[in-house]
Amino acid sequence: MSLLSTGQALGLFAVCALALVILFLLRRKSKRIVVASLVPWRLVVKRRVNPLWRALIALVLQILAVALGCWALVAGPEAQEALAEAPTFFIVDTSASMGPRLQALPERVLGSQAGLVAAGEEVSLVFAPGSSVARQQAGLLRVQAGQSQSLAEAVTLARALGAQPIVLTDQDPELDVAWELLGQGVAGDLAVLSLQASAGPGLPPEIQVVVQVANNGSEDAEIPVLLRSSEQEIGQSTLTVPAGQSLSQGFVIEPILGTWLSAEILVEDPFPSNNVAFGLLPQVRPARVRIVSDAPNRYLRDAFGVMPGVELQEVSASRYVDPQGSVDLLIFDRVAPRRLPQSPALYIDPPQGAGPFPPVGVAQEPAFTTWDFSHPLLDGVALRHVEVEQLSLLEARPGARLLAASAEGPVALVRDQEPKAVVLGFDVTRSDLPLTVAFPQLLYKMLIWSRQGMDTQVAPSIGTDAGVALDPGASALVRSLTGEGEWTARAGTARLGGLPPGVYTVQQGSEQRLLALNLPAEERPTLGSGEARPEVAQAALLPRGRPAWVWLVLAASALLLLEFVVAER
Amino acid sequence: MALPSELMAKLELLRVATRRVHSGRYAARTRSRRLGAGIDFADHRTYTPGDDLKYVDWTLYGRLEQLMIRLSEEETELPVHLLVDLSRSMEHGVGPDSADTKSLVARTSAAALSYVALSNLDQVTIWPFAGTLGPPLALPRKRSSVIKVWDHLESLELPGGSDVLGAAKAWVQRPHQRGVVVLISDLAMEGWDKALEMLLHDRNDVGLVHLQAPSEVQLPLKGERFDLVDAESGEVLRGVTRAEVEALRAELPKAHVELERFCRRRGIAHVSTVTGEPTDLEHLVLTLFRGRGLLR
Repeated sequence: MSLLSTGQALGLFAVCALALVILFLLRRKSKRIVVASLVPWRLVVKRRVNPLWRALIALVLQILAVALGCWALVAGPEAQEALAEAPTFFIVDTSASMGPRLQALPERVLGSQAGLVAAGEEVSLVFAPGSSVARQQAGLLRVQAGQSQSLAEAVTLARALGAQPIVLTDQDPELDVAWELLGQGVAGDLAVLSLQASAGPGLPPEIQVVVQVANNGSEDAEIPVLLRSSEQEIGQSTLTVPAGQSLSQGFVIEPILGTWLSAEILVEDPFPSNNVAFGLLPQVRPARVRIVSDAPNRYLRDAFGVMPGVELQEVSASRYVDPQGSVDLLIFDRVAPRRLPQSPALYIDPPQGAGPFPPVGVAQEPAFTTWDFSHPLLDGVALRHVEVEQLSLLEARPGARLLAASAEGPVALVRDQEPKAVVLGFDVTRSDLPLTVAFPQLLYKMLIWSRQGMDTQVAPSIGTDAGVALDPGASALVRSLTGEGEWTARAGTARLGGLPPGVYTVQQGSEQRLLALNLPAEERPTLGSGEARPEVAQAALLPRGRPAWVWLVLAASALLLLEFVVAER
Repeated sequence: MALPSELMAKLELLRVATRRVHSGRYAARTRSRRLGAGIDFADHRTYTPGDDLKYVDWTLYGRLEQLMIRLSEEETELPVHLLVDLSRSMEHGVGPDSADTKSLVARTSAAALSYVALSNLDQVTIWPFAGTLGPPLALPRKRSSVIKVWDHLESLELPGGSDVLGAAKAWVQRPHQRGVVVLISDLAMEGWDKALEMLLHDRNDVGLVHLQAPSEVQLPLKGERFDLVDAESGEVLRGVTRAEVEALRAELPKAHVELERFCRRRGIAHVSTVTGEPTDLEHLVLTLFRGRGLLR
């Protein structure tokens, strides 16, 4: 509401100033009083310091205060009129966190008379004030989220052009400028926060997938999530996520064809770009077991033969070569290598003095007195009633953990540290162990135990990388496998940012690699949870800091205070 | 205006106080420096032919066979001079309609002091002054003469202005008998301190009756600015502000203390009164004049 126009304010000032001058003159008119003597009065008046000048200064200060007060009455409305008359520039923040919010940009700027400036790595004019809708639409296609380091420069540029800047962003820009939350207040945003895929140690081979889904809406949501690879659809699951919370759901799937994985929310929401996340599928291969023996052991062969996804190799001791970690489990059946291998190994009745825990004695027709069923190898394995003909007593060296013992000493030891090793101090062929269900159980457990920590390839999860790290020494070709396009980076580029989420191949020279990109988690927008808040946007449109009229009133008050000190009363 | 008869009866019991011994011309009731006929013995001297035989001390002649004349302290009149300020500032009181103007109180005070002196057969001379010293009035030594004081002071028209120092100078230069000099004035002029010192220097007992109007003590001025007009000279002091009025009001008690100190150091009997405050004349004369050593 406009309190006074400029003309009215000038009139008010003239009236007030005239009144002040008249009052001043009236006050200068003295009352005539007859006194007995002027002698004491002269003594007081002698100390007077230029009273006329002080009175004139007080009058000037009063008039100035009135002028400032009148100015204050018109300063606010004038500023608002200026705001309306000056060309407006929207400055859009194109930082990575603005990715989904940029979808609300056309609705905000299309059809307006304002110009648009993108504050990306550099300030760029998207379209000028007064542009046609077609030109605005063409310009909006160039606005993409990425790096934003030039917000302050864009504001300075807009002001230098005499324009009124309004920053469209997702957080307080901490600049002395009007700003507006873009996309604020749109209800029901759902998002896939993360997708992780890893190869499990179990048999048959499996892939563990963990999907984290967020519900930023104001009500609980049933969120259908589609899991698919690059080649095929894997399945669909519906997750119930409470309002304002996130939920992690794990899936175990069989090895499938394809190179990458995606989790996608199948319902529409205001910001679909965060409804999908990508990850790479882990490399899955069968479990590799190599048996080194000079005498065939059909029990071992048969036990591994029935296990799915196991690739079994048998070699004689003379042809044994250290596999250098290419197998999951080495089994030395009644033989032992000269040098201990780096791969996990099972030693069955090793020769005297050989192996990680060499036998140091023999016990005939012994009885097991101790079993450590708390170890993962023996957990749930029924070994309590195993009968053996002869036992080798083992030497427990540093790092050894007792699995089984007879009255004479330890007969089964394990080392859980790398290189992993298990030593059984008896020949399984001279026991009833292969005839029990415990034998394949023990071998399966041993295989799982040896594969722990191996072949586990975790796909890049959301938030680990918002861009593509490149070797600055060569140019690179970045190609999207999910249809987003193709980018070429010149030599010297260390990082390519601003790419939309997806799966990419990066080729630099002869090297080619695959990676999945998602929205960076640490910069993900925290979208509002429901109702629109127009008052927030309206408040954000107002200039920051105190308006001019407040300063004018304060200045007028200061002048009046000074006048009070100066004037003689 | 006549003094009340009850007051006059009380005044007849008082005397004008003096610290010095002065000598009057005629015999009266005040101890003088002269030796001669009197009651109180003072000295003897050798008889010389021509001396009155009634003053011969025959008892001493019986012892010493020498004729000796008995000398006594002679009691004479006390010269009392009343310097009364008749300047226009003395017409300043609590208001134009007030009867308690300073000149009224001055005339009353002069009459009361005169009556006390006349009751003791002292010689009273009224010296009115304003811009100059006016014609003196020497009162006959009888109580009824007091009526002349009032008539004389009321009928005089003195030139404008107020010059107490000039009046004091003129009074000292005129032939007069030393005695008690009482200055009755509002001291609304410069040089009053020098005037008092001049009177003291002339070896008189000096008294001061300082009269002030209530408006001068309380300064009940209302307004922001004032043009002050001197009641005596008509001079105008323009643009006196309210702050200056307040400053003067704050300084008045200090000035009063200074006057009090000035008089005490010089042995001046000082009576300061505000006209209109104790309108009781009896209180002024019997309490203040006696209390401050002007009468006893």
